[in-house]
Amino acid sequence: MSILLHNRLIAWQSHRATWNFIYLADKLLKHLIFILKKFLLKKERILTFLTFAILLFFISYLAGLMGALTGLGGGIIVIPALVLLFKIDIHYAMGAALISVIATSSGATIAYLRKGYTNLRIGMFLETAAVLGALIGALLITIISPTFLATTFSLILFFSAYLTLQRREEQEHYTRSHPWATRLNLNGTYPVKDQLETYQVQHVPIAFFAMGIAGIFSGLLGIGSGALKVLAMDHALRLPYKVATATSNFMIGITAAVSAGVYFSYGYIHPIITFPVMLGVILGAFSGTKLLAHLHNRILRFIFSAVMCVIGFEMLYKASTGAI
Amino acid sequence: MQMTSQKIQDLIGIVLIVGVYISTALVLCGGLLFLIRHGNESIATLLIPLTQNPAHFWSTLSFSFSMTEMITIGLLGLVFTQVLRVALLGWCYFREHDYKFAAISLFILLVLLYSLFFRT
Repeated sequence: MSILLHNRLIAWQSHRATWNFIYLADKLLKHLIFILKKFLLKKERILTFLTFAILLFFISYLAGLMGALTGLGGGIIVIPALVLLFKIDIHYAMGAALISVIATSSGATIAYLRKGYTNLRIGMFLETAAVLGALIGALLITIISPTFLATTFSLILFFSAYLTLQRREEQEHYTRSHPWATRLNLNGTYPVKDQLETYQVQHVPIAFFAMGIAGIFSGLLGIGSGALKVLAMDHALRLPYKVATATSNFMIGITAAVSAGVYFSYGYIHPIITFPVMLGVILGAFSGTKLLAHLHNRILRFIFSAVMCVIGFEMLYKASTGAI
Repeated sequence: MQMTSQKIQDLIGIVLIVGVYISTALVLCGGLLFLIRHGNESIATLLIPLTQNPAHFWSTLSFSFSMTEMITIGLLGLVFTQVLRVALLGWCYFREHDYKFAAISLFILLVLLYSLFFRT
């Protein structure tokens, strides 16, 4: 008897849930049709919260996808979209971008850890340099001119885009690793077509130094730590490209979390602007991690370089208008 | 108990999955509720330039669980997932008697905590 009652209860509950869902979907659909009608009739072009959220969700999905593939986080797409498309204040846009970086990092790292791309030891070791650099950068902020800084940084970005395209890792074979890498046990394996391949880590001190510079820049400019991170791991450590992007994805979340407190307390992280960004970026990062295993290194390098050039131009534009 | 690097990876993965799902659920609920109630209003209120004075990190929260509050708590959850994963990694290295990396993790953890709670 009681089992029968229980079943009835569950049936009733799921029934109610279905109706709730249908009611919700119906309301959303009607609203969308209402907006489309208004838009097509061109009587009054207002941007409602719903349209804003849906558009921003799809843009953020793309940002998360690119961020997970390149190891740069989603900020490069989110900031211009918010500022240029929706005319949102730059500070709110930067807050949303910060959350998008943390979301990309968390979402992508789940899958990359499981698949075995991420090298946690390299990530943590280099993160110390990045954090140290960020602390130094925060101290230098009153001394160095932001325009000079942005110009230098954009030049570094163009140069690194060139370097990234130039390296052909398939032709490189290392039999020994750097003594520091052996001491710190940094060498690892990564999956190539269903089997594990080992890699030997090179030039650890140069990478550590480059990561410190990356940290200083990110402490000063608030963005762009991911770009130099991937570069240092690709060119100094001579890691396989997919390992470099996956490890960068692991690190950027921690770096971004260091500045999150300041953004929260200044109110730069606006919940209504940020929620579509976060949801879109998480989903995008999940898709990106699925894509990475199937993409060829060459294509990944090309995407990375293209994104670097875009950020470079963005920085140059900012430097010329003085909006930093 | 000796922990292999595979076990550490699994542990960090679990922490991330739990953190991401909880915060995503909170943000999703808050966001959908907001859209149902205010979905057809204009976003004009968002376009006002920022004039807020900096408040201390914790005083921005009132724990009243309104729609926007729910989103903010979800986002904070995402930030604290990062703290948690560094802390856990440090603990794992400590258990593994890998004191170099335990120290590295501790340093990053301290900087994270300092910047979250004491920097204004």
